[in-house]
Amino acid sequence: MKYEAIIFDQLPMHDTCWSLITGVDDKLYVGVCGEMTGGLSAFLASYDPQTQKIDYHLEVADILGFSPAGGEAPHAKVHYSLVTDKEGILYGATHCTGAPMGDCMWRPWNCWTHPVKHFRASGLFAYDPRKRTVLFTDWLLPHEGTRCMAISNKRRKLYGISYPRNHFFVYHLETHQLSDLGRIGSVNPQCIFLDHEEHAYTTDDYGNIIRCNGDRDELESMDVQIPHASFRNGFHNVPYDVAPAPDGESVYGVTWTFGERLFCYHFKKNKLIDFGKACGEEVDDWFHIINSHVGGLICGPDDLLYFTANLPVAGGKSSPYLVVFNPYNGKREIVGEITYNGKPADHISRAAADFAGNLYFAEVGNRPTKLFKYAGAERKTGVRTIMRYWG
Amino acid sequence: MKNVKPLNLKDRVWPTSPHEYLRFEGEGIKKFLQLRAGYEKSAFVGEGQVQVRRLGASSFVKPIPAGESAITALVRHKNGKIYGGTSGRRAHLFFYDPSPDADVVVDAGVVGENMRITGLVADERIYGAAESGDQGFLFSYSPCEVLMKDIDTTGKGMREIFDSPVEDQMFHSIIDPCHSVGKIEILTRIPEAEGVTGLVIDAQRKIIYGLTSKNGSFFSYSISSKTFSLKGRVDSIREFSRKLAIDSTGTIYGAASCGRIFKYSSDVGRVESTSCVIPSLKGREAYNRVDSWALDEQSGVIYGGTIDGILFEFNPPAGKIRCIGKPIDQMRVRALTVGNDGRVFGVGGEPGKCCHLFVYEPIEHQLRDLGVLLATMETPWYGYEVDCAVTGRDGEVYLGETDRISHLFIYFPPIVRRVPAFNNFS
Repeated sequence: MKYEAIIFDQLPMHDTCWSLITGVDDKLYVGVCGEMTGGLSAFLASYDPQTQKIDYHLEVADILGFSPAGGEAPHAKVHYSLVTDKEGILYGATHCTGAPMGDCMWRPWNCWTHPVKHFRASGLFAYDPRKRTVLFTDWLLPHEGTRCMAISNKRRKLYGISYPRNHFFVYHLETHQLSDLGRIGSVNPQCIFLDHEEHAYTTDDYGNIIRCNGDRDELESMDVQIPHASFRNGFHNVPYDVAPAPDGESVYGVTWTFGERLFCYHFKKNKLIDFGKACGEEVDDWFHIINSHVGGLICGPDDLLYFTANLPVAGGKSSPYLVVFNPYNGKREIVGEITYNGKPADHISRAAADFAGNLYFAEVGNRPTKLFKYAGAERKTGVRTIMRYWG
Repeated sequence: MKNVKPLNLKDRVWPTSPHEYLRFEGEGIKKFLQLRAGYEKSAFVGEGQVQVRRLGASSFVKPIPAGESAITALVRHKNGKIYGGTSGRRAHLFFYDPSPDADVVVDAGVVGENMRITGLVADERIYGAAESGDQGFLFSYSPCEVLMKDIDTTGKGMREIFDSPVEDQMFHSIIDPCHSVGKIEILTRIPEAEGVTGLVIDAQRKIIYGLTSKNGSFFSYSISSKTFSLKGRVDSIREFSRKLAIDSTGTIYGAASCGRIFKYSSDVGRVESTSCVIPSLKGREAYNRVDSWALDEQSGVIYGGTIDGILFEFNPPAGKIRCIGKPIDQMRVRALTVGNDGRVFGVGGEPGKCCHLFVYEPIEHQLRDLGVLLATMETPWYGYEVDCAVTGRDGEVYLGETDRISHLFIYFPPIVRRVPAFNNFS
């Protein structure tokens, strides 16, 4: 497999790229994050496929007016909460779990009311990359990070999920008002996805699909559940990553560890199609989980679904492999292992595509932070590209 | 709108990564890893056992839905079951049967829509206070144990007679799983256009007492005669706490403005002020409220928690109040109950934050923060919002969660180990 690494070499202490989206200007926008080293700020960077240049746009903490020197929990991450609207304005929200400056560990429950080390709130920013201008910043739910976000273009609102209390919220972009719709479970879903009418979807702890009705801002149970292995009870079957399908009426998704289940959800039919475990055999013990991961879902220009799966390698470890899945016949094919300097990459969070059909995969858990660019997907005519308006 | 300054990252001095710290050299990193492992767990309740039950037998039915499940009142019936009331789009009454053949929550029915159940008390029946908009209600729930007294078997067939419910139950029998629930009835509407709160019962005299929620009018409701009677306002400027307590003699206590205790006894028949004032943070006296009460039936002491998050002890015969302390670094003591061994368990914390369970051990005079509630049985669940508590027959502590999706938390305090007879036995 031929691919190239795109390195964010000016951020040497950062270790994760959680968010990756394609902008309307055909640039790849990335939230470069640092969670293992205390006191870092997330950065918004971009990669231009035309010029093949990296651009560091902004330091998120700085534009929020936050200084890590004060000892507060930093705005070190933009998790699956970087989105673009149709005009190309980027919206990002910060996430917690990075330690304060000089500290080595941090958890929200331990520091909720700590006068210094608390996390103030998820910081929201709106940024115009063409003018290099921050349009506004705001604070979301107090003391909580934003785990994932989606944007409704026509309703001008953001949907988000808070961490750790797992509240679903709606942020109205015109009025800057935040509506907390309440708690949806204990385990954060890692994705909110949208249908054609821009209603927002996610799940509860057991993979039961929940819809936020965009007209009423109300949470509704859809009475369908993402499948799981028969020996599991469905707990933790929350979506990890969801990609829009070329038909515009459905999405492909995968659940978060514990037997990563690949599925297709058709909005109008309210129907789930089970593709089984995303890659490899179902494993029924506990110890495989640390090496088990599927992410980076994206539909290629060949009408096939690409994703990465961490598969076992020598030494009891794992390495991410690029996998191509044909939803029409259910066949999976391993394209190749993703390595850097001869060593396995850690794991892949998200994927995006440029307008030419090249696929990009964001790595988390390694230095230097990087994307992997794969140019090997066949360009077929007549395959629709659906913009992704969620993180 | 603000232009972003160009970043100069090349000259940036970055913080150091933990594994590169000098203090973590050699064995130091292992000590850090151990510290980190303990840190991860240290925020959560680490002694005793925490469990949750969904509000419905989840193997068979949907639990009480999100938005209707916030538990705002709990009471223990003498049959050992825990009865609970919820608030939200619809307010439900449920019971939890702790016996091993049941161990489930059963939804006994809907009391009303867009309603908050503000209090429950029990004698043979369950009595509840509820408010919906500007309207307050008292309602009753008759368990099957009560309803069976009126069952007329005349003219009924064998199967019909044999299926007659004689107790509230949920029985996981492999022969014939069955369940039965009683009947909810509205007793009376509160005459003034306001809600109702602070329910207590004098079970001997069969009288319910409560407060109207806006004006703080103290009222009684005679179960026998079904008469409702207003006894006057507890505070002339209508600053009062929404919770009441009753001691074993049937005297009722509450707090008026600035936390001054008032009392009502049926012998006197009117609300009287006392000289007792609940403790307050300095300067917050005017805002002070009693958030929760719990009677120690054995000692007669009444424990109270204030809106400032202070726990205190009220000794009615002595007319004394003693400040015990502030168990956590948040406002509010939202739930309080006395355990079978005299330990006091409570939940403090502000809505929208992260509640903590705490314990007061009267013998040791120890007040301890036990941490955030986290259960893995019956489902993994974090408890962030809790508004009521009651102690079960066997000393387990029930905590009513008040979130969009709510559960009944059950806390099993650790059993105190006997002092070993000899030092070499542990």
